[in-house]
Amino acid sequence: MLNEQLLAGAHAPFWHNGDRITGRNYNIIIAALPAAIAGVLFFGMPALRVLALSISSAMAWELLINRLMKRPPTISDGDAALIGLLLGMLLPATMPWYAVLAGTFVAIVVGKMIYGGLGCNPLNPVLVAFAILTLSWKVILDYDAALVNYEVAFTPMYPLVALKHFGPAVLSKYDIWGLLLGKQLGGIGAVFGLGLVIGGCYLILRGFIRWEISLSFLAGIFLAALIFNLASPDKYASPLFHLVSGFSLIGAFFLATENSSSPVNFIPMILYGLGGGAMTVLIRSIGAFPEGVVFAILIMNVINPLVDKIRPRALGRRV
Amino acid sequence: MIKRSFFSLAAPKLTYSILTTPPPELVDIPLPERAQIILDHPLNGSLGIRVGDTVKTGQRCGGQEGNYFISPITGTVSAISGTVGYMGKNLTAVSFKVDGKDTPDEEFRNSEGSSELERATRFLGYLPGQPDFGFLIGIRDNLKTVFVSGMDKDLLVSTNSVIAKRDFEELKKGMAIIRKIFEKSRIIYLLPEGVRSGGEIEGIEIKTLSAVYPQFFPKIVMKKILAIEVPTGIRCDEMGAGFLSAEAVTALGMAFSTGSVPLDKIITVIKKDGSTSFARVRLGTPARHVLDVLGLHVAKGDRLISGGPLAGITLSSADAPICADTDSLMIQDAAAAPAISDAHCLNCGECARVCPAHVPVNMLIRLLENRLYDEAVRSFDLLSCIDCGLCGYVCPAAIPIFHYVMLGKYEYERARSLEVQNA
Repeated sequence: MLNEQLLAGAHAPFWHNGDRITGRNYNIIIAALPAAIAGVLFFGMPALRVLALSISSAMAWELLINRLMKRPPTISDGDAALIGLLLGMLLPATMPWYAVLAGTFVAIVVGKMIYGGLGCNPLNPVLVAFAILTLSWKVILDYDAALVNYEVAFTPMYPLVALKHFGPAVLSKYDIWGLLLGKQLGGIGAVFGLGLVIGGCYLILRGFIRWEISLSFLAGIFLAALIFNLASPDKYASPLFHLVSGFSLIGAFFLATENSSSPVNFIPMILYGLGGGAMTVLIRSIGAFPEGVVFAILIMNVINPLVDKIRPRALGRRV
Repeated sequence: MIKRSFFSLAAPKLTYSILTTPPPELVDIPLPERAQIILDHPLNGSLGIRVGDTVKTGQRCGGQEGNYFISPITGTVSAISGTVGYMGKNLTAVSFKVDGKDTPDEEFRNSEGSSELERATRFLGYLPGQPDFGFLIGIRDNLKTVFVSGMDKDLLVSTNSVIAKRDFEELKKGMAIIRKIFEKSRIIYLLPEGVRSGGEIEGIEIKTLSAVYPQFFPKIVMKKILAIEVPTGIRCDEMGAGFLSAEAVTALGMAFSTGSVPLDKIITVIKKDGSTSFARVRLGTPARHVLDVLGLHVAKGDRLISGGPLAGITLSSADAPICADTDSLMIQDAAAAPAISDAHCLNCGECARVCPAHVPVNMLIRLLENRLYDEAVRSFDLLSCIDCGLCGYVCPAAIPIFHYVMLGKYEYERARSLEVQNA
């Protein structure tokens, strides 16, 4: 009888709005699918192979670490799958299996789990992995070399490499709308810009990513590219070209917005986005690499804890 | 339970429940067999009564100024003991065996010759809805502003809005007495936007605030209406503002018009399905008795909450009494309780953006999880928190953030009082 009336004690609040990590991650995965599926349609079965291997191996690495650390499995939260998917989307369709495995290993183990798992990583795990792959296998990640056997109906040259080597004159071979629709060489899920924009808008409207970061990142790219372009149109490409080529769009909507390594307050989000965008154009225009998104966001990840100290004064806080 | 909307670009807006329909029926709860009152001080020294003493309804017990209580029932004192409340507060519990019917005590009625202030100070320090009324009378000279809130503290709770609508004439009488007692203060009647007061009240200003939770929390009210920001670690009354509930002011009006100390409390009962009903209960009645009369049942694992869904407090037993500040009882089904987890913060920042006090909750939680309370106060604004509970409501990692915050405040206070003792 006494046991029947045993009440449960808890602390307020007794309501929850129902938003969960798992739901968020699955929604981001869904939002990334249009671009990923378009990539598979463009590049065929090899692309599907890379994506499948990337997602499954990322989950396997996380499960392995969970087991080794004697922690309950965390792969059901969808984060490992998301990291695998996003990394796969950056890779060329011909990526050999061992390089994919190495990439997901770096992303999950070095990028995330050694810090304590979800939410503890100071850098975006996908970008850590991609940066390491860039430094390790230059040729494998050279999109022109990797995709040389593809016969395409558009200019068969990675636009940013073309820009780096031949200057903006070569860009007459590309049109902005074509680039946005995926008529370019590049990462599996990074070429179909329109899909990325649609997915990004979905995430922004649902509140799963922070619009401040995405929009200011794009604004940063646009403004910095505009300055370069106005200063010397012969040497530097137009801002629109920068927006739709390379990793700009996947960076703005899916990479810069990773929770753990990006700021949460309004002004820091704007600074982080603008800084990332500007850094991207700096690297592309006067840096050593044709593509700058990966290193630009990684640098902003490092600055994140510092800029996120700019925050509104708390109620009643004496200055 | 209000869920996140499908599209949620902006922070959630939870609105207080505003009565649009005529005031609902009140269920009168008959006298219980046992009653208990909780006094807001530790058990030390004499209470002026002993176990076995008989008391009458409305009898003033205890001696010294301010340190008295009013017996809510006619009966026998069956036990006096110390007890512990929320945040480890030491309290005193006085239990009674209740006689079947009320025998009113006449002392208050017989004091009619004295002024309102004297009578209120001597008998009405613990009004239903306002257990600290006596304290506010004591500091009345320091209060530049007295707010009378026609809105409740939490979502789904409508006790004060029901009273403000139903008993407007008594409220008006109470306001007149408040006007006299707090003669130097500005008195403001607070209402949610879209709700009209029953009419003009002489000498009282009426102000409205949007009905979005937690606009009616004292520190937010002070910022919005008076443009005064209460510094951390300072109470609103120390900044010259007192807060009264519409229920307390109505009770005050009734006390003077009927000549008896008000001992009935109106409570909102929030059922498992979220629907509400209203009951008039004698102070000290066990919650179980209220539920029995209303035909409600709590089963093993359910939660019985004093207060509302965002900032209420769970009762450990259904025998806990209805106190002067128990505005509502909420029953939550075991299956409806949201799960909490020990997942790590993923730094999405929902909590920091929803916080009405601009506390950097995403950073704060990292310190609280590691028990770094001093630094939490110094660098991450722990004490700016106004206890609304929205952080825990929105957390996708289901971290019990509000619990951590209150534990942090408690531990910080405890460490500080130890330092003072040992200094």
